[in-house]
Amino acid sequence: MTAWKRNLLAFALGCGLLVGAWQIVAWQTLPALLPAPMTVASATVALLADPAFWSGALAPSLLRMAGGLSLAIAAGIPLGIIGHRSCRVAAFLAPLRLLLMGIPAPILVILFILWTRGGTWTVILSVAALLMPVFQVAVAEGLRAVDPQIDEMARLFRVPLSKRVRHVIWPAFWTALGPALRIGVANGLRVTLLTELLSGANGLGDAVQTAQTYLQTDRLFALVLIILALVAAFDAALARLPGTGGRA
Amino acid sequence: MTLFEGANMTLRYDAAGAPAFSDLSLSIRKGDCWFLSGPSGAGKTSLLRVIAGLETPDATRLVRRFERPGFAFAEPRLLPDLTVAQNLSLVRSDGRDMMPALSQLGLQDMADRPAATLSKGQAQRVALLRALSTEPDILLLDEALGGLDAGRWEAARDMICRERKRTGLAIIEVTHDPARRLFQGQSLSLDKARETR
Repeated sequence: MTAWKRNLLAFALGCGLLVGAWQIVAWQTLPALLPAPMTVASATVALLADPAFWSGALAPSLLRMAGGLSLAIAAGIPLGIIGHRSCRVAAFLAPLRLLLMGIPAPILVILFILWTRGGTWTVILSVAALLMPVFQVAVAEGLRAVDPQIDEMARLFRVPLSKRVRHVIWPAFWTALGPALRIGVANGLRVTLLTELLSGANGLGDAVQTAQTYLQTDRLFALVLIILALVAAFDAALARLPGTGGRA
Repeated sequence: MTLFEGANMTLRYDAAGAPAFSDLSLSIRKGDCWFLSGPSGAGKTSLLRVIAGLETPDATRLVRRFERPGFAFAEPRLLPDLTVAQNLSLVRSDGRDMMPALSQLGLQDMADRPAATLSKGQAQRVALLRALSTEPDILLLDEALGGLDAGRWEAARDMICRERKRTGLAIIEVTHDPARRLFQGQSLSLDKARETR
């Protein structure tokens, strides 16, 4: 058995143990408080089979998350590059970065709801504001990880820019940006949900709110499962992106 | 034909610190062989970097008349994840078969090996090949052959000799072992350096 298969088996065993424990506790609890795994599985299938769920909840949330993430990357990458090149600019940008990193997410989300009156832009701006510092720091760290001796060699030998980026800059850059992207996607989905939940905008957050209001606990758990599956799928996809590599 | 000319060069890495070298003049012509000597910290590598265009000194005159230098650094500076062949093709633009050159330096079986798996001596030979494969007008060797055994060192020297005869490249060499000088050319001692030529 390969190492990958052994890891998969260990993961499946871990999941099985959790589901088993969940079933045992569910037998001794009211279904409204803790529905059984099979009930939640049925609710999940029902949700996924409902076209309105895809178009009214999943698609708006994912689009907003993608918008916020794109905005965070678009702002964070140039700020990271500028900060890396100039200590003075990095010092100038530090207060904003620290403010956005330090302020609790719910407070920032509430402020954005007040300023932008809820809706799509509130979600996009909240995600962007909370993730932008992550990418700013990751880009600066990634650039710092580029081996200056190798980079100097490449410039001296006039290695074409495309090859220099691919073989010298990107592998080092990715060591910082790759993990940031994986964390950013997971956090982006969580902030999207939080903002939708607090602002009442349609989407996954609103679906969670509705399930809670009507005590549809099985539906609430089904939504949690779908969100977990989404985070896992994004993480697995990003982990397979090429470009990681060491330096000499 | 003059490839490099620097008059009254002074190089400081730190404005307040001591200079790497000061008031140094040097002129290098096509086909010249220079041997740079001096104790550690005398500025030999710094001078190579100035010639290559990696550093800019204060100077009354500074001229570089070459397209691309071949620089074999003290560290091989190979990309560890790329194979030997990929490391070489990264800087080559001529598309020539690299196997004859690899064979001459005893690296014929290494073409597909990742650079990270090479020994120090193997990596140094690949770095030398990389420096030569750009068809340089000027070859800068910074302790580049220091880790080679006698046989490999002679093979490397022969290869450089052939390239020099073929292209007329100038060679600037730094080594701590005068017995292993590649050529009996002109010497510049940097511990008491001033103009030599």
